[in-house]
Amino acid sequence: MKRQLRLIGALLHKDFRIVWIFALLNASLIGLGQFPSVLAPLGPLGFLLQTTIALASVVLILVVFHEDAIVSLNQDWLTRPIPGLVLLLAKSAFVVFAIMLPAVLGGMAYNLYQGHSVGESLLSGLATGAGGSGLIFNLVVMAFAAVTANLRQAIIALLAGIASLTVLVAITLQILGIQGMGFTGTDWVVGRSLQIMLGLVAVSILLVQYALRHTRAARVIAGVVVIAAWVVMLPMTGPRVFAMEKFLMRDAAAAALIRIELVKGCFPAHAPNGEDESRIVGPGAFIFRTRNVQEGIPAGDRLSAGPVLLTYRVADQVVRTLYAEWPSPQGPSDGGLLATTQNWLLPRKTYEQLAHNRNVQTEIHYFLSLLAPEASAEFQADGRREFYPRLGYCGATFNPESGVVNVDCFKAGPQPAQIVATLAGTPPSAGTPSGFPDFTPAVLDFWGGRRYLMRLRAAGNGVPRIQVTAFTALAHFDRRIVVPGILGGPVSACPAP
Amino acid sequence: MIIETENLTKKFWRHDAVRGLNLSVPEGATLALIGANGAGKTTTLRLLVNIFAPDQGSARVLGIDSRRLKPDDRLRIGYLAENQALPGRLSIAQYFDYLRRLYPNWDRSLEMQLRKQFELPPERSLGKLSHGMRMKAMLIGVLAFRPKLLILDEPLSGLDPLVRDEVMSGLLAQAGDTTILISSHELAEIEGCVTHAAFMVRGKVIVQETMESLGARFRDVTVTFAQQPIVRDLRESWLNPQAEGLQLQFVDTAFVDDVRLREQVQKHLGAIHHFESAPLSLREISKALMRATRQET
Repeated sequence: MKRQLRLIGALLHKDFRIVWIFALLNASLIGLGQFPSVLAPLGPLGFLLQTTIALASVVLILVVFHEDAIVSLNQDWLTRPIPGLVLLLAKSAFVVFAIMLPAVLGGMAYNLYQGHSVGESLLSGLATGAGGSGLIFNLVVMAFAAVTANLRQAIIALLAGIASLTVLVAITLQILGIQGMGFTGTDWVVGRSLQIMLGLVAVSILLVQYALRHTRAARVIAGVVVIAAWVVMLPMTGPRVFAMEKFLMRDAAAAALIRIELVKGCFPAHAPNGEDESRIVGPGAFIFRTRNVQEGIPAGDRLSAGPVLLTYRVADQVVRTLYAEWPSPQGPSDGGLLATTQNWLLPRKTYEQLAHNRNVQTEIHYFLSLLAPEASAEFQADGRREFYPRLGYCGATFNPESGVVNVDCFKAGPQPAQIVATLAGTPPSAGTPSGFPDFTPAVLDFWGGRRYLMRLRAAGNGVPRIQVTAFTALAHFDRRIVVPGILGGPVSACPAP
Repeated sequence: MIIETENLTKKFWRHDAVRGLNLSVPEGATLALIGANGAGKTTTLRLLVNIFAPDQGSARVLGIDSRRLKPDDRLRIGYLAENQALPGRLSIAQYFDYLRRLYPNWDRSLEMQLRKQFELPPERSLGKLSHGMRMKAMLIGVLAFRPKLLILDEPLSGLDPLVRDEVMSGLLAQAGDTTILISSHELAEIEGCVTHAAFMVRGKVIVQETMESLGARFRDVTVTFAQQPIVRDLRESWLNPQAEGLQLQFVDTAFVDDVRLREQVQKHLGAIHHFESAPLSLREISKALMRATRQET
């Protein structure tokens, strides 16, 4: 063990001696990149800087790994008393010290500069510098370096890989069409699985290469896994992804009581307004709106509306499916019920094709999730930050001139599906969510952390009191509503604009 | 035996780089592995140090199957190849700092002595060294941990005569009890120090023996006949016969003494007017064997 540590030290020392200027410069940039207040005013230059940091880190990893390339017949290390796994540990240690540690320290420094506690700063630094995505990105680059002999070969392989991936994605989109897009909050089913798979494959390639020095096997693993992942992901259409999530839901009964109804009457429709809207909509299309109300949601719970599909059928034959990708914000309807609205775009040609048929039916398919509160905290918007169990570190600031309250929570480890901030005393359903929900199960979300930013408006001059609630997914379910006609009724009653 | 291979075979796609190679290197020997370009010498050496795994057969190095050589076994094996990739951005001093930490058996005084002898500038980076200096640095890198076995692949290639002498003298002075397997085309330079030679042709060892035995049985023979000889059905041990007028020149590979050879020639080809035989250098033996195998092909 002592000898292996000595070898790791010797290799690490050698690598830092070789690339210390590059590593130091890159570490400084990585540290700087953790300061959004520095990058934001730079505009496109800030984006360029972030891209440069990512590219420089990739090149640095490649250079250090290729310095003692495993894909080689004439490297000095091959004939030295260096075990392959010790070499891998030394190279991994380099990545930790030269790339991850500067990010952790930069993230920590930024948090301390923002006035956050040491505990929060450390967790936040670890989440940004050594969190899941960064870790997997580094592992993938390391695995890539392990199956290439030099920088030139790596660049050629990378370009070939990007070209192949582009073709695969293009084919996938062609096959799946618009339904292949992820559903809000359910991205983890495909996204996190791919991420975990990438991490495992990268580790396998590194072990095969450094323990067995079997380049062909490592390259075969890489190729087979990419194709296998594509084959597995290909049939993962949105509804199938949602079905998988539904299969994993905790409380199916909770959703049974919830009713979704369309607001009665013709769907409000209008021709595109102005040149800009016409350009977006395209020639000959018009816009219409559907609105639904939701009843039976348990008190305190929230309903998260995912995407919605609208299908026109004639005698059970699908004529056209429209897709509303982003859900509208949830808000109280006229009757005090919760409601969401979808906007649709219908080509005039399709409308005319459907209008000739009296039996046309409209089916609206809603994909929904019921969220229940799991933790809540109340505090003054006076800038002070506190740690709240299952919510993380939270604080809020209030600007009396604009009436804006900025709420900021940072949670390490397993994440809630959504965090909602409200003015104390108002129901969470009327509050501001932290963004689209994320239903990643805790078991897949244990490493890293996430920051939740919410903005509220408060009247009056006094410092408002804020309530922050963390929601967890209770159930995922779908509802179908069928109405006759094209725009909520027969063509004669509900004509196109 | 320090090295012993049995039916060692390595293929690259359809090309047989090494075909059923049998080679033995006794302890303390310095064996020259000789062969034309592409004969399979480098592949053989790489198989011995487990850079390649054989497709068939086996090699035992220091009594261990080459495929099972562990990193600790490399504390006893020094391998140097002409095209070895060194960490070019390290200075000479930094390189030896690094190597020193890899070997518990590193002899610092030997390292310093050789560095002084080879006049290597410590601050110069390896990537900026001349080929000769680079080879000297690599030689120190394999000598300073006093390996039991040294495997050298073309260590003298591309060096000027002065540097060749320096490298060879450095090698000889420090080798001690080390067993050396050296592959080189610079046969004149290594002839003085090798104890054994093995000749490789198309992936196989065709001759392997001590230098004494080689020197004794190889002779360059020139015979002038009284009448025009009919040169056909010569003995197998007479290589590369070249007849011109009354004169015949060939290499005898089974020489015992002049009297016996003269009798054999006279019996085969007729009355001899003049007979002359001379010993061959390693280089000439190598050339004779290569030419003979080329003619066979």
